[in-house]
Amino acid sequence: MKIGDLTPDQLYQRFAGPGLRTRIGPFVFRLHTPIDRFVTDFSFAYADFPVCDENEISDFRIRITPAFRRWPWREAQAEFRADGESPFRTFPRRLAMPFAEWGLNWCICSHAHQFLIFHSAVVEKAGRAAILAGPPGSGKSTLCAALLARGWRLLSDELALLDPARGRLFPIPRPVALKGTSIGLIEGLLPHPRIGRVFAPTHKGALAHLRPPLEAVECQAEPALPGWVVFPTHAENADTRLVPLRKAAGFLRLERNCFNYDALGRTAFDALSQLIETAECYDLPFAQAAAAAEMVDGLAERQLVTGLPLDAA
Amino acid sequence: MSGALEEGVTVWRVPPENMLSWRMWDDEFLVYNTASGLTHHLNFLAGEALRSLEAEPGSASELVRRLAEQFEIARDSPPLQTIDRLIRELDELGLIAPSTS
Amino acid sequence: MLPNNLLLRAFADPGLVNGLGVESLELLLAQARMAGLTARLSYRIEDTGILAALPARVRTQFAAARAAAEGRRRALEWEVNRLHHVLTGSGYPMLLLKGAAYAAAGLPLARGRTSADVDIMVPRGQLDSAEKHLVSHGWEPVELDAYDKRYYRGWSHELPPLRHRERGSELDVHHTILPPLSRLRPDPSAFWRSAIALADGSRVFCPTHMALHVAVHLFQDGEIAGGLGGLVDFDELCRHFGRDPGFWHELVPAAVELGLVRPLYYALRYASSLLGTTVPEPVTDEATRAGKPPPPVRAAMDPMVRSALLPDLPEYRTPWRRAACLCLYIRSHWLRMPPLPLARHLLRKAWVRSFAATS
Repeated sequence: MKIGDLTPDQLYQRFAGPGLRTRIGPFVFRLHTPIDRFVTDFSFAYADFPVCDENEISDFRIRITPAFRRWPWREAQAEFRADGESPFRTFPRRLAMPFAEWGLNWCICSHAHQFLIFHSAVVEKAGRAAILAGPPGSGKSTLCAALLARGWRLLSDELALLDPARGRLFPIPRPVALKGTSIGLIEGLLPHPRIGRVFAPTHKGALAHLRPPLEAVECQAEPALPGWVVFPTHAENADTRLVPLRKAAGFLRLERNCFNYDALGRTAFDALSQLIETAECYDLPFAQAAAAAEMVDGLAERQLVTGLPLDAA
Repeated sequence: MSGALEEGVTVWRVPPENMLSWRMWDDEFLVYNTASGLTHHLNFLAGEALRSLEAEPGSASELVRRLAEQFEIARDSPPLQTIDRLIRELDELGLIAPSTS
Repeated sequence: MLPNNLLLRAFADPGLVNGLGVESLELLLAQARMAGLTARLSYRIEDTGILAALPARVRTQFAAARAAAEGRRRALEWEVNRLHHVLTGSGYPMLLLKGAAYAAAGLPLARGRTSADVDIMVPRGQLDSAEKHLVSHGWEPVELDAYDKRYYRGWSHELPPLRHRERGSELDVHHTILPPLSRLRPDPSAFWRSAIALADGSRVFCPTHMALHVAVHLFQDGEIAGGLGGLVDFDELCRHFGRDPGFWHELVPAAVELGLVRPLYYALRYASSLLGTTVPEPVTDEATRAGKPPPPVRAAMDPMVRSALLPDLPEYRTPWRRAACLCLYIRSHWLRMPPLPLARHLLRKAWVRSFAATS
């Protein structure tokens, strides 16, 4: 049964009562909230995700609840707690959805050390995954969405989960966060984009969530081996091209994007080394997401055509 | 041969607990120090110097001699003039330590 | 009689975890996470042999918490290595405290601990020159405003925290274990005299002093609330060192000698009542005789401490608990500083907190 199969009343009752259990990527979340607006936003964005039964133990227990409004002139507030801890102060209740998304990121980065966790998008084609790594503002979410339009499977928009033991990237195909102008851009690129409510203003500008493609959610238990590491940088007048990177530089750049490299020590060194050994690394300055996506697509095509293992001479 | 044990000359070695783990791509080294949990990026000369001390402890002058022979350059050539500073940095980072004998 | 809190009961009797249903397991995991004790709990459970029987998802959460704790322990041991390199080599005797000591001494209690900062003690006379020496080797004082700087230098028992420029680690350098103006003033020379030297030349407290330091940190110096990890430390030290009867014989006399018997009394009392620590009856009697507070104080402390230490999730917390934490906070500062500076200090801290919350 999927979240979208429940009626609004059933959803509200679950969220407000025993909590909604759902599997998102490798994790089971148990969510509680009495905030109707959040239930609507969340169940739209996560409609295709499976509902778990009460015997499935969860990885995180989330509560999004109304919070005390300290000053009467402030708008209604809410707070986010995961196992009693809160990563941020109270926020406007109408922004519960984006804050919950940030909260879920925080949960994973804080605790999911069975993985090496990178701040990057991950997409897959031809059996291999491309890691799109970069700081906020580099344009990786927009590039990610543009690649979805070219038939790439979404593994993740925000967090790459690398299993150190077997070097595979595990999917966590959550909604893609679109900011500002990229909202309109993606509406133009994708054939049937299912974009939720636009939230404005947040401290990151206007924000909306693109519902992940059905196929991505249905394949959320299927990991992929890494094939390419791409560092996109968006700039208005950039010359869009793929610039091959030396492997040591690729290692260091990717390590900078890793949340828990230090914590995992030798395991992290070996896993990242193995990834860099087998994947090709590129810088990708770009002006237009569509053109950049075409370049990345070219990498997958080359892979299909040559049929050689990556990194062959 | 761990160099002449001259009076007052420090013999440097890689402490066994460091259990260094190496990767090399093109001419750059990445090395992980198990004791510190730190990963270091070394250029060609620094990497070869560290590998040399890991294989066999030696003094600074001994190290210069070995590297000069290995790369067939003069002992007083510019790259080898930086060996003293390199040794200080490797010591600060905990990659090498004076040999206690 | 142990309180009805799942996490505390699980520490006292890890075997009970085997029979828990999904709801209870989730509650336990949530409480452990909130208290920062997930990895430590997992080792307790493993020691009873039931870890393999738990659901895979629980074991994964445990493994992840252990991995993070391992990373911290490695970082901590490296900091000690570098401090040794800088201080001991230059003639500054260094006594490791708390987490750094447990890790360096290879104590079982070091498993799963997540303390991030390094605490060391140096002789008071060498404090200033040690600080200069550290600063010249890559440490720098953390940004403090003028008021906090004066607090540390005038009233505290430690230097303002230092941070290593490249590694980013924090270091607290103490010269004794309690602030100089507290009502209790143990003589630090006793610690140095009995200190144990480790293989690498650094020093740690002897077992008795280790236990006393935890007790003091919890019940005299600290704010108690949020100190469940400290109480677990005390419990584990007693379990480990208590196998040697000498430890128990010396505990109360050492506390009396140093004037620390009141915090020891509290530590023994609450470790046994909340975590089920087995304390030999003669020791409890001796500590009670020498250290128990007047009945009204004890009556007030009991529910306040239990309330403050219970790892209750916010949805279970009562207004009573907030009041309890506030009382304990005032108490701990009263113990640390004479009354006049205290009022000023508390007022200022409240103002800073309130300002930070609304900005």
